[in-house]
Amino acid sequence: MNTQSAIMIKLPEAFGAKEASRLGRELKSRMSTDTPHVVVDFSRVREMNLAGMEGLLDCMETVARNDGALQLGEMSPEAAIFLELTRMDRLFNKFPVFDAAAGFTVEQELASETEDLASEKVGQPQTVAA
Amino acid sequence: MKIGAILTLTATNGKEADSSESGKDAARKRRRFLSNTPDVKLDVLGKSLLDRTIEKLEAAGVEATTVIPEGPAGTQLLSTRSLLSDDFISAWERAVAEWVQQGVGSLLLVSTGGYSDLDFEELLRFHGDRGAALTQAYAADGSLDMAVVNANFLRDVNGAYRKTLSGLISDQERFFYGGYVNRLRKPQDFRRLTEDALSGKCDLRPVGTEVGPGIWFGSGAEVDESCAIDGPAFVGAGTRMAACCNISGGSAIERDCEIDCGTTVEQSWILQETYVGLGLNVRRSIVSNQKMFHLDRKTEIAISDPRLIRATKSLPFARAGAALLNKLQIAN
Repeated sequence: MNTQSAIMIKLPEAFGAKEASRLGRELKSRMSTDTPHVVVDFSRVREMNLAGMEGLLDCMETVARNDGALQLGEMSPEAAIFLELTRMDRLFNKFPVFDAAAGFTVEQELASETEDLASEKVGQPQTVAA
Repeated sequence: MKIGAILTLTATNGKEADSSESGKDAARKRRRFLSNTPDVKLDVLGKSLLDRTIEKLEAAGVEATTVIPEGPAGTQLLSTRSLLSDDFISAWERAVAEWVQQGVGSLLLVSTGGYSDLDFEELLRFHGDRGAALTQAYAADGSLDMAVVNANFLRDVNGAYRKTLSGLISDQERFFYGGYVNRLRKPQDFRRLTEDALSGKCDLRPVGTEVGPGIWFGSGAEVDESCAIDGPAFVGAGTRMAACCNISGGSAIERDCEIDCGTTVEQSWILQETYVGLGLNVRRSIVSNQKMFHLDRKTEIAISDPRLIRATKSLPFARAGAALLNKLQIAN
């Protein structure tokens, strides 16, 4: 059984430069495996800006550098519009998705175990499967 | 015969209003579509619907038009008093009184709640031929919020003109119009209007020159030669499009916009004086200088990042701020 973990990142309502840089720091500190697998949940996002997008790109780069996989989680309509406008949606699609057969399970109900990120205004990574 | 007109700028449409909101709140929300400009004053392919209506009235022989803001929509010409503000009623009564005093033979009452290709001349002719006191225009789905009144019935009136008009309703003539009608109830309807106009489905014409099949440029539009434009499309007066932009799907970019390098505009409508940033993908959307409405997701987002979207012209307070800064620098 594969024991690699996936990290669920639930982004806050407003995602700008400050939140993105904190997300980057958290992501780096929490990546315990050589091949990180990240799920980015945009369900709460209502507002984004280019600085937030750039921060997200940095995180994608970090994941890519570690041969990881990145997958879109739930998506608010507002976030979907921002991603489409900035063409970031296409970038997300270029990442390899999780191979469930290899032992990854990102269970929806486990998302509730994540901290209330909106209150901290930062995407907080959380191990959701082991 | 002298013909006068009263044009009411519609604030909202009753059918759209959320039942939990008061009429006034709903009106306030609806009359500002994505921007601080009332819907009817927004340019649609180079000219506002307000200006277009006034021009059409003039062409039909109307001597002058009195414009009254803030009326509610939907049978507003003869709505019940409870739906109208006192200010509006007073302004409307005053306008009617002025026209009657000036001795008009017919008075056209028009609201700007929607768009139609109705020919006012035809309506006036119908009204004259029937010798009616009041003629209202109807489309298949209801009233068009346009009426012609024989001003003789308004002379020597004691009390409110509205009351007199209400008394004429039972004997009204109905003018049925079978042409193009767009009620403009939702943002999607505005987009449909630009699309229909560009594809010739209605009489609304782009203001500019047709530079290619279905491709219209307003005066002073600057489009880089590396841009790809797939018609029908409209680029408004004074708009600049930087290198490698793509325009397609019946898109319209109104006047004084700036579309930065490599941006794609597909099946969208960019409102006047809007900057759209570098390398963006605007698809199935209506974009103002501060907000964006996605037609498929039916969601409006506010965009505060000026690198994405902003106004191309400085706002009055920004200009005032710059002037103040200038004075301070001079003083120092």
